[in-house]
Amino acid sequence: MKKRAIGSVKVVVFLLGFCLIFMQMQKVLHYRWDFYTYSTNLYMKEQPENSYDVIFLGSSDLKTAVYPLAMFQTNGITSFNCAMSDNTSAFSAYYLLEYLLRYQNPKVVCCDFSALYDEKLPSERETPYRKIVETMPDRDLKWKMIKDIHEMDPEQSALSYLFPMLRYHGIWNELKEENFEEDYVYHDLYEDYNNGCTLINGTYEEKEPYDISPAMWETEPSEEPLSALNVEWYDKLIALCQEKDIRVAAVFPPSLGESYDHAARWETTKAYLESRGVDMIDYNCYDAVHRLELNVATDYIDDTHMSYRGSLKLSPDLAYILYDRYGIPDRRGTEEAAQWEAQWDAFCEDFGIEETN
Amino acid sequence: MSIKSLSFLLFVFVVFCIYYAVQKTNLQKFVILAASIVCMVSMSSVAATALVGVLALCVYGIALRMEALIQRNGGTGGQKTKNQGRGLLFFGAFLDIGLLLYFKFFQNTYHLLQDCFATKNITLAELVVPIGLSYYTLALYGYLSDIYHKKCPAEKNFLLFLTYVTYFPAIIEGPINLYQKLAPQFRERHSFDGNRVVMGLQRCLWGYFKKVVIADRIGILVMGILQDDTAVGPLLFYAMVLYSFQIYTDFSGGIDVIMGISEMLDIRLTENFRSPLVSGSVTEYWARWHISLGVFMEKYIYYPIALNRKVMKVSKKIPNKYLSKAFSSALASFIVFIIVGIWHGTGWNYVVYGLYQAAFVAGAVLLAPVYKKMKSALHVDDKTLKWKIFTILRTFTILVFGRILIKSADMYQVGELLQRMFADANPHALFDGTIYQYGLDYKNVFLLYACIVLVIIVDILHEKGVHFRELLMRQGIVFRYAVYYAAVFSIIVFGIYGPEFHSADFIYQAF
Repeated sequence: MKKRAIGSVKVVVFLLGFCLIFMQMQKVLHYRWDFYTYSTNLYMKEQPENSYDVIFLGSSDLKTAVYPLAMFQTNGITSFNCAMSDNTSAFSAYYLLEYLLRYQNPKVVCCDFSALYDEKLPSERETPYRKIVETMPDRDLKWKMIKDIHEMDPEQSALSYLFPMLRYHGIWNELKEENFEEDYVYHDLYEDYNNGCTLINGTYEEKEPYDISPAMWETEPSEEPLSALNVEWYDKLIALCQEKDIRVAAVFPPSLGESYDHAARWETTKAYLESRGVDMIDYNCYDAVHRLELNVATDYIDDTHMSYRGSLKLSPDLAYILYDRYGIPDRRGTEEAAQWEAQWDAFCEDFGIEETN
Repeated sequence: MSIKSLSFLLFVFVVFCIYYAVQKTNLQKFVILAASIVCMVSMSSVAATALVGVLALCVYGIALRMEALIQRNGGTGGQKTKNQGRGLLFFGAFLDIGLLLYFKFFQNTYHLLQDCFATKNITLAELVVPIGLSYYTLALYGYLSDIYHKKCPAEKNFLLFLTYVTYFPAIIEGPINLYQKLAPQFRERHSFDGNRVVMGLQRCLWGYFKKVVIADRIGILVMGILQDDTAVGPLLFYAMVLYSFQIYTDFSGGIDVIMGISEMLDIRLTENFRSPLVSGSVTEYWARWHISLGVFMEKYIYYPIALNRKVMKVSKKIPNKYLSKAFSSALASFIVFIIVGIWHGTGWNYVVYGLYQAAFVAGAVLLAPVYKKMKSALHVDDKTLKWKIFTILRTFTILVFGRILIKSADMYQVGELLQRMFADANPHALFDGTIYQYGLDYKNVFLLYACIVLVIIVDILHEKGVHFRELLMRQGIVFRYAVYYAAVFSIIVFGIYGPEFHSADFIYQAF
């Protein structure tokens, strides 16, 4: 009996030691996502309720295109850009929104529906799925996501999401100093003025800048089908918003590199969105680009991402449209406005902007 | 369910718990039987498992009938009884080995049939090979042969017999267990012994380390080099050397896991490897490699042929005295190794592989006096360390070339590989960073070399009588735990499992 008890204690001690070492090693051996991804969730959790009337969801195209502070300067719309890089997954957009809606109650959710035609399973494109799960602070939501991913794609092991070291153990031969530091903490990053937007102070260097012409959208309509996988999750996103009486708008940033595909798929995209009662704000067309006087050389850094200059042209225009369509309140002159103004001033100072929109 | 999967580990844990929960009853064998059936079904299919059950039932019935025939005439038997008994043995062998041959040779024919029927929109069911077929079919033949030769009694309890046939760790990768050695253990009650369980776990850890860290890592490099049509010369030889280590660590690693699980359940299996890396000759290699197959071949093929009266009669006609004695042995070796070759796979390359091995084994027997004279003439002292190292490297090189035969799909590919191997003698590709283009960076290759050296050291020390597990058990608990943690986390961190991690897939440009 005594021997058995001692044996049991030894096993328990061993297992405890194992868990301790495992957890410590996992802090080192996991992939470090970009700071925005960690920060957005934590930041939004700590903001006062109803801080934002508009939330943006989508991929990096939207992340560089929409600058919330510029929108606030235009007509006092408070917004946050929750778009994520490489986020071609409606699943990620849905769960990010579900998390955000626990802390915020926006009037409008703007989504770029960038995954409508992407049929890749989690095992074929892991990044958007792993990113959203691994940076999700809410445990219940995390577990729900893991179960859904495993159902969607049994090749994705649930354990590797629960214990990321099982996925990223191969990182051992690429370890850098940052792997031994704590993951990014948002406090260091959100004293500034980004509000989720990636502000790039750069110019177009991909190739020789070119003139934007209508021909870039001239193409035959395509019969490419919608992705059943992503339509399912976009439908859930729309239903979630409808449940909470939130309007959904599809905002298509002016991604020049995808102009042909966007134009070819337009009829299918429009039919889908209209059937779900989703408004469309299309900047990926010649009319919008021409109206905004967008210039490849200065307003873009590559064929799909805008520089801050491009964002400063698009954001006020978008603010007017949203204000006009949805009657979003003008929060200028309120208590919170001071912070927005201060952030705007800091942005202007850093980017050398003398006039404000 | 793969032996490397977490579901398999969970399965073994559950079996272990239930096994010892019923240790005071006679139910342990049924726990093993149930576990074995679950394992077979999950690793192959219900139909395949049922097929094995039917085979076991047939062999069980044949064995009982054979024993009854032998006992009817007081064990002496008239010629009629003897013929009936032999007939039953042949029938049993036909069923048993026939099933193995069918799945080995006629699968392709079945696939052709499937394609034919598909053109007429008729879908034939997929043929699922029962797992472990190559192992228990041989074991069952051995059982029938032993009954026929009155070396053991026939098993009366069908469930116990079925447990022996389907014993779940062994169906995965062997070893081939003789009935007399394994089956009686299922009649005994096995009490929980903490030390024994820990020893078993240690062995499992070592097995997983060899399989998941070393074998699978080597596999990436070997596949990369062999798939590169521009790889020639020493680079190809390097790949085949690595392949030899891969096959050893993979096979012996799997066996270590199987033996470890069995040890935890207090079931003793035949050892399958005895430091084959230190073999000084091909004959010695086959006495150290896949020992259970060697024992089976020796008992049921080699000796029956070597001691066969007709063969002995032919031997006596050979004028040379030495060759006359060695002829039956050499002939038996040839036949054994042709069978070993075919057992490994279908195709002429496997037959040639068998002949290649046989040539060295039989040649060693036939040319023994010649070698002795040569060593004497060259004043070679075969007790020195230098000579030992030479023989080990010589044997290893012979085996590396032999592996070309089993690594290739057919003889054409064998020829192509050999041609490319001798097309260039410049070893520059081994040292100029070329090897880092085949899926492993320099850190992984360095780790690989370190692991291979570790395996060699362990084999050498094992050969010298140093048994690490016993040594470890005598150390203090802190040291032991440190070693266990190092082993477990080495497997978790360095193991090749899950999708490969490429940082480029995760880094999204500048965002």
